[in-house]
Amino acid sequence: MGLFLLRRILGLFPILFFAAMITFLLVYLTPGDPAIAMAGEFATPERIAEIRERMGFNDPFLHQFWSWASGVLSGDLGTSLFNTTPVWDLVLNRLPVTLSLTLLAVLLSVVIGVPLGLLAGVRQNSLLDRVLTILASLGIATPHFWIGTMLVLFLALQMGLLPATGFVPIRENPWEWFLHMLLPAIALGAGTIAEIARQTRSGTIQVLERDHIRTARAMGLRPPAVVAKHVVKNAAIPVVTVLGVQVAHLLGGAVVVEQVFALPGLGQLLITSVLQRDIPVIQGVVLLTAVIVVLVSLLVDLSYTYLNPKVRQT
Amino acid sequence: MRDELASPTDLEEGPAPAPVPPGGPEPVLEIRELVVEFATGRGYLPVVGPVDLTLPKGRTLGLVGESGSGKTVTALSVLRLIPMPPGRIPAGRALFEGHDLFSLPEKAMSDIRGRRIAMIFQEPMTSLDPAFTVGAQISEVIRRHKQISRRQAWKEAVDLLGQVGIPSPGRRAGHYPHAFSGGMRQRVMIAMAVSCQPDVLIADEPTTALDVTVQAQILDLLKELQAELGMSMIFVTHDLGVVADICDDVAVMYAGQVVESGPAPDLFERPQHPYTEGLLLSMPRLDGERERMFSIGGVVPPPDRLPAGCRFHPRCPYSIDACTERLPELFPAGGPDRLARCIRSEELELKGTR
Amino acid sequence: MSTPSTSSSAPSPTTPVPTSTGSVPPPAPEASPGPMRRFLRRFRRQRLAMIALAFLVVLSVVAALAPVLSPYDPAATDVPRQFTPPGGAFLMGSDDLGRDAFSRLLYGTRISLVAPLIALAVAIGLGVPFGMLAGYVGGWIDWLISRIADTFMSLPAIILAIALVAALGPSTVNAMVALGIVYAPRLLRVVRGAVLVVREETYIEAARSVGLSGPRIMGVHVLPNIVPPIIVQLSLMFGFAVLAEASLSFLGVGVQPPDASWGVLLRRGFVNLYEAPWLIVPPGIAIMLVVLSVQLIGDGLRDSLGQEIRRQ
Repeated sequence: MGLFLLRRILGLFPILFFAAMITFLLVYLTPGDPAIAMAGEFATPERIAEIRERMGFNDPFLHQFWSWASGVLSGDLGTSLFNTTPVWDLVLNRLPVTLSLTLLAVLLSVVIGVPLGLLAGVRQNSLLDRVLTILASLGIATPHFWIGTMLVLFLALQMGLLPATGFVPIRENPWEWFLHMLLPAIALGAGTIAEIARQTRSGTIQVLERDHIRTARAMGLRPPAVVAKHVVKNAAIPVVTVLGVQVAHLLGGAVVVEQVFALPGLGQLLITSVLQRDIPVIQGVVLLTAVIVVLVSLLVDLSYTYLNPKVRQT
Repeated sequence: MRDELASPTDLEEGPAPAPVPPGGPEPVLEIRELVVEFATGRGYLPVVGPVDLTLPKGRTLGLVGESGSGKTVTALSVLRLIPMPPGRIPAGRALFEGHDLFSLPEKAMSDIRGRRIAMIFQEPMTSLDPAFTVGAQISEVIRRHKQISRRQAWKEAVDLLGQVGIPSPGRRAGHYPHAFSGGMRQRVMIAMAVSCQPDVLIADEPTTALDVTVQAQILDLLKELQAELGMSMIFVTHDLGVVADICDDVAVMYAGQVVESGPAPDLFERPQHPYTEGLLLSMPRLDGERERMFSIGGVVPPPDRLPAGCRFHPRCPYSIDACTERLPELFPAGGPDRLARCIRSEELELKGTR
Repeated sequence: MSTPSTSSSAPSPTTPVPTSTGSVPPPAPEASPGPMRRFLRRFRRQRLAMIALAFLVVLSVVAALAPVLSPYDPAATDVPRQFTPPGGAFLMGSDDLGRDAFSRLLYGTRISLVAPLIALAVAIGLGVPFGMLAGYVGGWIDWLISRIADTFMSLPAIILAIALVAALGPSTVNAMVALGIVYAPRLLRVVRGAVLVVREETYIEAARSVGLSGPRIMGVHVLPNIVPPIIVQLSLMFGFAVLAEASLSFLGVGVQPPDASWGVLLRRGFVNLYEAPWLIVPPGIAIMLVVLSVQLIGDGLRDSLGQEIRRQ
């Protein structure tokens, strides 16, 4: 199992390397002179030169990449062009908000999606199943910021049940934190809940057709026990896989949902940086997201070793 | 062996009695007029039946036939393991300890499964849950039926593994099914099945997927356990060699019905139904008595295309016009405890294995 | 959510009763448009998918006829009549500048349906050639291309698109190109997978033995046979692209005003949520219906494809 883990981690390095490359290259995508673009419309020649010097544009390409990359590895993501704060600090400040939103969405999708999927799978083609299938399709098809806005409209503005905007750090007041995060997490997670429910349903149907389920019944095990233990564990792998893939999707969606609910997360940071052409910050956010996604995929692989014992030997 | 006489029956009226093997023991399981239907595009179609079987206590009844004969469906229906939909059991009774299994509520049925009547299946490779250790799976069955602690159940599981011939059972109980070979997995299934000392064990072709040497070992194991636990067994198979090895009584099935039954040695020596003769003739012989392999021409008719009259007549070398008129009943034939579904069994001298 | 297809033989009882079916396996496919035509024919039998396709066709017609169908000029402002609720003069109400929401919705159909096509074109242009290259040639080229594709896939689509738009400058085309770049790896994966399967077919071996060159084989023999899975993936991608365009425009980095896609309408609706809550409902429903239709079509295509594979 240790060997498996090691091999998986080694496999991640090329991806991280390429991610760094791509992030770095973003700067050079800008048509024309990147320094001019970054300086903005009302730039003085001094400012342009300053940017050029600071970003190292005068150096040969590989040198630039190397200095940036080594900076990254030692924790220095550069400095924002606009307020001279280290990018790392800016990003770290916003990370908890986005992370907690994403994690809450993941939690909701498992807590709501898996049981619904199990029910639909066990009672295939029943009314419940059909209704859930339709709802799932709708959930995937609807933009989450629209769901968010609708939720804000009805639950917050019209009925005043939950707050519409704002963020309360969990350390200050866990209950308020939860209330503020609930609507955004539902909006963000709607699509994922639907996907997880779908995947659980099809996994359940497949497992129920397997021989060992018949064996379990033949030995006298009752349906609730059979489903809870045997179906769940065997159907879990594709569900966990889907969940891993969805995390990347969720991080992207978080950017948009944060706008709807005015949450001070990475999303807001990214948008402001885009409008200000603050490339170092953009690079920092993109790279960080890539790292998170890669780590999540590693976690998913780790979970396979628990869920599918055969994997441990490979 | 012939002290019990078949009840006198008028051959033209009334249902034939179920095959009642001699020896006096009370039947532990009786199947009466079982009919199993499956839903098709054109409504429900009977696939098996009516079938009558009797399993006397402590004996092994072989259920023999080609694929499509309905033997597996019959076996599965005892424990009500037929998926319903698309299957259903519109008629019949399965008498066990004075109860009709088919009219029990599901909860009572699940109490019986694994505890009083157990079943093992054909595919050991897929019949165990790949996500749990074998020890966990056996313990789970034990704890389902007995109120004992986890640790105690684990101990018993390890003991059982030892009893079925798995070396180092203490260590192996913590292994997953994929770490075992086909034969070993079948032993694990057997361990699961006998963990609560059932009265009846139904084995659905447990050795078909295994190779020949392992087959013999599994059969020996089953015989051993049967002697030890006093189990009665129903053994479903298409292999007459296996029947000869392990079965006391035999019921031959064709196209959803029993066509012949009786004690195994007698049935082999003097078959009373042309189909049985055909099966016996198709057995490969190592003593060079025949020059070419014999097989019964044609295929088993599917349930929606049954021939008129006797279901076997299109493939039967002895059929006459009368065979197409009506479906024969099971008549006593060739002995007091023998039954055959053929109007010509009296006059035909069919070839047996001697 | 697909309808079962009709089969020609009578359905037999399910397990555990084995019945002899005695069916003859169908002949192997040839390297010609055959599989494509069979695929399309099978697709026509999927009822839900056909309804969805009909809906999209109708919508496209509406988009084309927008000038005819709109009661107002979508850009015509009428500030005194701003924030009028739906009903009366304005079917779906008016926005903050007094523009008719219904007309804006109709005109918005044009951009919302066409812009994603740009993204798809870019995705095809990048994904198909590289996918074919990776799948057919294999070796370290495959490894390199796959790693780069994996990298792109580990960056969330929206975030990467935003970053690319930041570099290229906000405009409709740039945003769509960015989306195309982001989706190309996913298409690449599918293409590569399909090529890996087709590569092993005997007619490819035959072509090779006759001496046809690699590119020619790829173009003439491989390409037509991998079209079905590509079409399935493209249909799903169209749905994602519609959602993504809406998200980007909602954030202000997609379609730029005065052009108005549904995403832009949603943004205006959000900004004016207190004064005119009715503004965001129609565009959202429109997006939902389009994506749902695309999903159903994709499901139908996938089922037709699945049967094709099963026949083989």
